[in-house]
Amino acid sequence: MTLALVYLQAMVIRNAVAQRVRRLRQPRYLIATLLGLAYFYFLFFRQLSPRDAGPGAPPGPANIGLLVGLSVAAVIMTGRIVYSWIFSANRAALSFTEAEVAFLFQAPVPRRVLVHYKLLKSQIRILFSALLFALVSHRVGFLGGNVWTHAAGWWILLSTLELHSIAASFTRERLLEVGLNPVRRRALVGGGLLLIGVGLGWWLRRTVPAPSAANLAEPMAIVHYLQGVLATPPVSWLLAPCLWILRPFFAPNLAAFFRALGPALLILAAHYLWVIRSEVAFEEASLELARRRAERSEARRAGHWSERNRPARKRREPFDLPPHGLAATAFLWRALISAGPWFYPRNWLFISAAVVSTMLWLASHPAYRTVMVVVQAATLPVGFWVLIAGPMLMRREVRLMMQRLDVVKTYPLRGWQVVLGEMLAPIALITAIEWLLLAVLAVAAATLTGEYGSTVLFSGLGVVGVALLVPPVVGLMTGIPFAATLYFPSWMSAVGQGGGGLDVMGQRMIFAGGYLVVLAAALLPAALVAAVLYFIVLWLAGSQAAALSAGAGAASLVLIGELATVVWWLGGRYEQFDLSAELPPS
Amino acid sequence: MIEVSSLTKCYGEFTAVRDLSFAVQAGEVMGLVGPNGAGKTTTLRCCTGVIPPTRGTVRIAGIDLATDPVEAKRQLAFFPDEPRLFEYLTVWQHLVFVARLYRVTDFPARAQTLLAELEISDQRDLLPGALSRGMKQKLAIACGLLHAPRVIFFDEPLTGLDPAGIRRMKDTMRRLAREGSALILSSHLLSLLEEVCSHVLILKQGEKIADGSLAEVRARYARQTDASLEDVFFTATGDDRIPPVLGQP
Repeated sequence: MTLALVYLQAMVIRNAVAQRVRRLRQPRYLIATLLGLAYFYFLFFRQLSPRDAGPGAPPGPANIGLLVGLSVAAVIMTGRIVYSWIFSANRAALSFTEAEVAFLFQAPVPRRVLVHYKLLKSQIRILFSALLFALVSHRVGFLGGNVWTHAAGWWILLSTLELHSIAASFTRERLLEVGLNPVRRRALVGGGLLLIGVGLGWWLRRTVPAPSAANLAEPMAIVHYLQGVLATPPVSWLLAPCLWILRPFFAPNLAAFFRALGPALLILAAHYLWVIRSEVAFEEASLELARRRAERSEARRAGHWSERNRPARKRREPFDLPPHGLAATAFLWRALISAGPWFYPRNWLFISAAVVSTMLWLASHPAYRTVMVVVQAATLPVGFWVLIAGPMLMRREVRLMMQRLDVVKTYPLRGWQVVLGEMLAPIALITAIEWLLLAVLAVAAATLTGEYGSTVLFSGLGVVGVALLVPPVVGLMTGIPFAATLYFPSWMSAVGQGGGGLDVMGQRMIFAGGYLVVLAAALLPAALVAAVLYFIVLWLAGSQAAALSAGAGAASLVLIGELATVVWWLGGRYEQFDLSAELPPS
Repeated sequence: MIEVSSLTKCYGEFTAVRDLSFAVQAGEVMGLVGPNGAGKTTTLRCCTGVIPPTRGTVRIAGIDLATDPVEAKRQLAFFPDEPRLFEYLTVWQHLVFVARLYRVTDFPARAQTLLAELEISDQRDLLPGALSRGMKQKLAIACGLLHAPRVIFFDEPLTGLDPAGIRRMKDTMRRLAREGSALILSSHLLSLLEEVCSHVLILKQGEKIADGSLAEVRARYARQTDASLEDVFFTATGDDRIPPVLGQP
């Protein structure tokens, strides 16, 4: 029986690996994989120099970072475990896929074998995570050891937490079976912990002196004082189990690691026995968990990252949509309903007015000058981030469009109409945010320079000029993921689904690089035209404001022209787009 | 109404549909049948403009789908096996959206009539998530019929419907044919085709095996006069051996 389950898991892994290897026959996957490998090599493995395999950081009082790290980790871990015992409502559920539930739960498989299968399965994830975490953590300066002691330390920690989580859920289920409902359990555990806390406080007040001024004089003194408190029994007894589990990871050298290994493995083994010996029915809760996971996956595939995003009731229309007019407006109308009422034109105007009014009120009070400084400093990076990250929204829109392409392609529309329609909503949403940020920035900048009067025209023209550039720039950037989907549909699908693997990582890197290159290429003609016009107007009229307006207007026109070309070109591609490569023939 | 001439669709070296020609006139319902992999869905996709054919022409109400796809698509409606609805739009908002795409001038009156006919007027403010499978199917039909298409394609229209939904769907298809539309119906349910279709087109491995009215096809392939479409299908596709009972040697 156990062999059958091992076979199942082995075949799943083998086929998954084989599928990825087969994909390497396609050059785009091969290139992406090589890029992903190079990324891993340069980021992690190149750092594995011989010194990392050496004795590690020196032990002793000098390495205070290790001691603090260990103590903090032990406190966090203890807190996490206590929290889970009080607040967690999870039933005794082992995480199985729907297929596993369908095949294994009705098969004559003993309960203990199912638990072992689940543990074996989780070990694959834990081993991979431990190795990955170790590649990162061994580079942290104050931690000792090498990558392998770190990997072993992570493995012990993650395995114990996994086993504890399962065992605790089994115990909670058992308590439920004997009539101790969650409310009573919380009261009991909470009450017990309160008693322990009060007792500890009383004990500490008697045995540990209160912190003196010297103890609080500097950060290191505070650390030393707290270290002393944590090392005092009975606090140290409470933290001991977590400390034992954590010590292999925090071991400064190999000798310390092997000394710490024994107690940690003992606790791990005790947890294993706890799980295996718990005679609790987990099937029903596991079934429910599998169903919820399948629903979440389905929602993610449909582009909804949270089940809570599902609307509970009707959303009113953002504006009236008569049967006549530009078809692309219908796409915007539909997408705005999907985005929710925050972005409806009237609501957004109201929000913008409220934000700008608040800014003006703050600007009129010198006491809030610091707020203006913070706002000015924050607005630019936020605006830039929205400009870069916002068009990524398009990936979701295009993915949704691809899912219903067999219906969308029967609409009586030219390709450019569909492309423009799908792009309108991201352009409108991002532009609305950018314009609000620009207004906020303008108020903050004017307040800080303290020159409303003389520079208001210049600043105003500057803001309007940038505001004019925003929609076409956003449109061009939105076109990039659209173009990538139409030209590399399977590639974009893999990236969008959030799958793992070196090739997907490489694809993301290629996509990000291409994104910046295309953006630069699109901006270059506009920047050249704007610069030429700026200097000509400045030379002729002698007015910087006029030159700025002319430059911004010209740049905006060039960008609008580029955007129109991109929409027309993508529309042509959409019309020729053949689903044959994506959909299996039947 | 629908004229398909020498339609061929290739996927690389694999030919999914080979040199297929047929026609469906107004008021006719043609059943598209064939074993799995026969090319039914590919044919439907080519006829609705979802994918371009490799060779051949498709004319919808006299309009060439390749040269004037917008006008041709204005004449057709396609109902996939699974209703593709927008999660955030109510029943009525779906119709508002479709009315704009197809420029349906008398939209409110037509929409209300359709909702009443399909018995979903009470659900006009509900989201798809609150609708049963049958109700979703009705909404998809309302959206498809809003612009009064002259050519209608159904792909496995009975999937997931309860007995009442099945009956309503069959009645709807018969009514649309009576009103002068040309229908193509792809399904594995031969009993459905026998009940609803006036004509049948049998495909196998991308090629036409039989085409004509039910009586003509039956006369050509049936061994008995009262043979069912199922018997005709197995004879025509050359797969007339009796399938073994599952679980028995």
